[in-house]
Amino acid sequence: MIKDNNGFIIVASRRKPFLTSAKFCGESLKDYWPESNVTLFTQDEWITDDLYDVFDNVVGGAPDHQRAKLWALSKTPYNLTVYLDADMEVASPEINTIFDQMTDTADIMITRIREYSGVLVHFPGGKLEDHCGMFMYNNKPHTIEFMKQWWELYQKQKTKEWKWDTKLYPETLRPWDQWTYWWLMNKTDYAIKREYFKEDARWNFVNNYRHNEVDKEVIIHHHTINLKELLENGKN
Amino acid sequence: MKREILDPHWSNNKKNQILCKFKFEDGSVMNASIMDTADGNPDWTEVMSKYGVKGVDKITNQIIQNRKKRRDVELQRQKEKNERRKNEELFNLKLKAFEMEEVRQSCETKLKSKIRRSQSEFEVQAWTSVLLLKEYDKSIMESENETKPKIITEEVAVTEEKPAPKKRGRPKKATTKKTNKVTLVDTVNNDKR
Repeated sequence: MIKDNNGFIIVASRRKPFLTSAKFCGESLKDYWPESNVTLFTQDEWITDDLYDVFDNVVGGAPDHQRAKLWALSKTPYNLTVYLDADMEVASPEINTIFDQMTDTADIMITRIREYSGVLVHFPGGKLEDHCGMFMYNNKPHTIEFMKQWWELYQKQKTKEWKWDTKLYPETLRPWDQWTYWWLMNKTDYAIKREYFKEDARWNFVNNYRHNEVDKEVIIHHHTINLKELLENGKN
Repeated sequence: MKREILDPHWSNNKKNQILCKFKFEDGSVMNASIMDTADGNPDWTEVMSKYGVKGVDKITNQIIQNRKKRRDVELQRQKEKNERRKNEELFNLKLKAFEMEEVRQSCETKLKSKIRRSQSEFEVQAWTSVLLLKEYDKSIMESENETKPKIITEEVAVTEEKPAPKKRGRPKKATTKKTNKVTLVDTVNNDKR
């Protein structure tokens, strides 16, 4: 059920196939839950009328950036927000119970990374545990501030303005926004209260997860966009 | 150097050859094959005294079971890998379909949903074709409508009231008033026909 003003945000930037996929994701959500609120954040030049057929809000101004999602997170119009990666697909009517999963004690509800699934999970200084492809968060000031810091620190990470002890945290972590999230959660005062979804694989079933991770139907599939193939499709 | 015999198991159904590991004092391990000989092989004798035929049978069964489990897991992984590849191909095919202008702009929400929920490449292609046909039909109808004479309804002022013509039979009602709706034919579009 939709309580107050809760909704989903999807972000499309950088490459046009992500916009197609974001629309696909939004439509799949509306297939199973037509009353849900969905906002798309995207680049100004990509905004067309047909997007309003799917999304309740379309917000422009997204940067032409690989991680524009981080830019968008703090701009959510909702009380409770579910962030969905653009390459996700909703596949069950149970999606309408997602806001009921939020506990009173958490600021963010997220799913766990599977060690066998992630390319980089362990590093000398710690271990990436949370999968940042789908999560739900509240709009308390400290949570929104966390989201802002995530974007700001990621930009410094990308431009190498932020340097760290590479003995503990290898340079191979640099491209990942999950690393920025880990750092903010574990090494700063911005830490917010995090809990995991029950039966979390059902809420973010990454394409290389094992079948035995779920014993009921998957609610959200997490695909991988074959960017090369779609770009070669000659539409971009 | 002292050594210990580990995991002895039959290498064949005749039970005349044993495969095992020799673990030496220095920690090194070596795979070995033992057969009984006419003169009596001391390694064979050692295995028989330590494990016996039943013991070797038990270890052999355990090894066979473990191998089968590993093979099953590997087969399952392979199956999942293939399925994953298929799913991703299917997803990307759907995205390709939705990148087509006609599909993207289409208001046929039910058909679009059919494409999204398709379970095979064939199904995606079939539903996409249905949608394209519908859109094609619509575009043909629209272009036909465009070329038909356009009926325009306008308010025009008629200043004179014409007297009704005298004809035989029932008199007709007056068709014009001071202000009346009159239909005009747009002749511009007629040129296209």
